[in-house]
Amino acid sequence: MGHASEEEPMGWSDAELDSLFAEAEAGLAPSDALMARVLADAAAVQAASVQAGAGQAGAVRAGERPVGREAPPPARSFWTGLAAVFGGGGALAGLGTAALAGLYLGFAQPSALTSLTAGFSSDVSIDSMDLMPGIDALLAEE
Amino acid sequence: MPRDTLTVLSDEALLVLYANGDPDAARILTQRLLPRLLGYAARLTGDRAEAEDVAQEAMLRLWRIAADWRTGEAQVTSWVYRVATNLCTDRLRARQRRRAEALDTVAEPEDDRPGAVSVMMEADRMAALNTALATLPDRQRQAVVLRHIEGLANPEIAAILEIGVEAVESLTARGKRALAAALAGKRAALGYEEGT
Repeated sequence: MGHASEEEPMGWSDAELDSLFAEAEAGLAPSDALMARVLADAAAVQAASVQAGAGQAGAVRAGERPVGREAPPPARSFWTGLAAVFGGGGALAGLGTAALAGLYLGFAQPSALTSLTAGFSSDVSIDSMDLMPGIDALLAEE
Repeated sequence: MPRDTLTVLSDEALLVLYANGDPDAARILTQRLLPRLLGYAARLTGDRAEAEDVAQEAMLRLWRIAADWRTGEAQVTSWVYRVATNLCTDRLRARQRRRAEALDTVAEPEDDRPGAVSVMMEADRMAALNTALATLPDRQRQAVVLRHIEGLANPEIAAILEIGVEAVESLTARGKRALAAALAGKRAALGYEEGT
């Protein structure tokens, strides 16, 4: 056992500390109850994991990373897909608003707008356009 | 897989087997890791009941991470030691909030060893060591216990405490000095007098 190098009780030498450390056992024997609790946890987590991974079973050798455990990405709805095409829900909402505004202006033709367009080109005036003339005229010629 | 085969496998291999539903892997891993975690947590917290809670929780987190464990990235022992370290730190902080004085809760010495007088002296020495350890700052105590009682190498301790190797060396050196100072004056009581 270590010896004090001084008359007064001073701090311990490295050798004395080392002998004390050597006496201290690293491990501590777990009680049966603790062992049982830990194993019960292990069984519960394993059962839940195996249940979640059912259908992906396969022999995985030790050292290999288990694969195919990631959950598949959630299915995308129609609107989510459409929004993605236009660059996100915000862009789609803006596009929809613009479309509705255009439809409104086309139907209502507010006087303020008409005078504005008249200001740009006063010599051209288009009150209405027949975009789909139909086939009545063609039929009449035959 | 037969148990004889399992016992020679690495911790990591056992963890992968556990994740794949092997019924015996958990028992062998527990037998390997639980005593170490329990002893370590007891040194850090100075309380057997808290150490049991910490060890069980650390093992539970290991079971939960098993399915996502990335082989080769970390040692299983380092990982569970790190979890246990953090759990102990949380508990010690909670305890410090509850009580200003924490030194009155020192781990009870084990009473299952043979020999009356020698056991008493040995228990006294261990109690003195635990009391002295309890006076160290958290990080110094963790580093000293991992290095000198758990017997781990500095790089592994660095991984557990998430610090550099130089910082580990500094912590263990300062921790040992503080421990020596805390134990000063207890030579006679612990059988370290001249001539014994």
